[in-house]
Amino acid sequence: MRQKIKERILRQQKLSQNFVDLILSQKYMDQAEFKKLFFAYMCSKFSLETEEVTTDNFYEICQISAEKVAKMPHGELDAAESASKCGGATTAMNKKILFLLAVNREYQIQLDADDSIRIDTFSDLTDCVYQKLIEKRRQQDETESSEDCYVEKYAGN
Amino acid sequence: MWKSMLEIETEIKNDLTELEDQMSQYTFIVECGLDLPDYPKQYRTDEYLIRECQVQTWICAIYEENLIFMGDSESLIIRGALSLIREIYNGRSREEVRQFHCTLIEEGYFRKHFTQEQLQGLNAILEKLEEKE
Repeated sequence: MRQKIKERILRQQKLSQNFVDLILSQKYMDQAEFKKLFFAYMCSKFSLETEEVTTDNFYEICQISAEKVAKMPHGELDAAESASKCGGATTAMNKKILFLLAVNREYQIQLDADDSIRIDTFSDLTDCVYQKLIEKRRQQDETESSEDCYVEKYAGN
Repeated sequence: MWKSMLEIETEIKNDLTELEDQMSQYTFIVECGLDLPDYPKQYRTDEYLIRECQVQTWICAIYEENLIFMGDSESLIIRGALSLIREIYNGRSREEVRQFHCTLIEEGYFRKHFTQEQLQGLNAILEKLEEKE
């Protein structure tokens, strides 16, 4: 059982890494295309089929993912965990935080505490990550162009 | 194939290391909790409650010929940890348990995934198991 769980998670990891590579390899991607790929990335991270994501509320998506694992009806797991006193952390809340940390690491961006407070929906998250990636690309382009100027200047001398 | 307690513990550590990122490790521990057998109602009493755990967690460890380990928790992640601990301890002889010391917590494999209170609870469970004579 443990081996099967590990192998399945490793397969999901590979799948989600493919989406990260695809997104980061594009010089420019329009927001609709990004949203499609980022949604597929999130589904692979949460081991969810696209049709299982029936809401845009990001916390609820995390809940659906936790409930799928626990094989519990919608709302029951969160209610049970919130009623207990386990440091106030529900599985869905932990999943939300871990997902945001994974996004930071895998896309090499910085979603800070303010961002995570602002993010209520998956659409909010997508917009925020998209803007951060555009900004990162812009900074990379500036660095590259200033390096080109430097090379041109000194190659000319 | 028969495996020693140390071999199973090492396998679990290797699994967590191989999974690398925190989200995958967390998912792994939680999903392992699904493997935990149903906890008998008669042991769901104060006597078997782990008082160090904030969330209700019960364990029952009794020796017949070998150790029979049963556990349950209201928290999914704690259930996962119980399932992994059970895999190491269940069915072992007194002698094997006496000679073994679980290092999943002290070597930090669980640290990232549990709060301080949860770690205290898990430590209490291990202490309880290891003092069983």
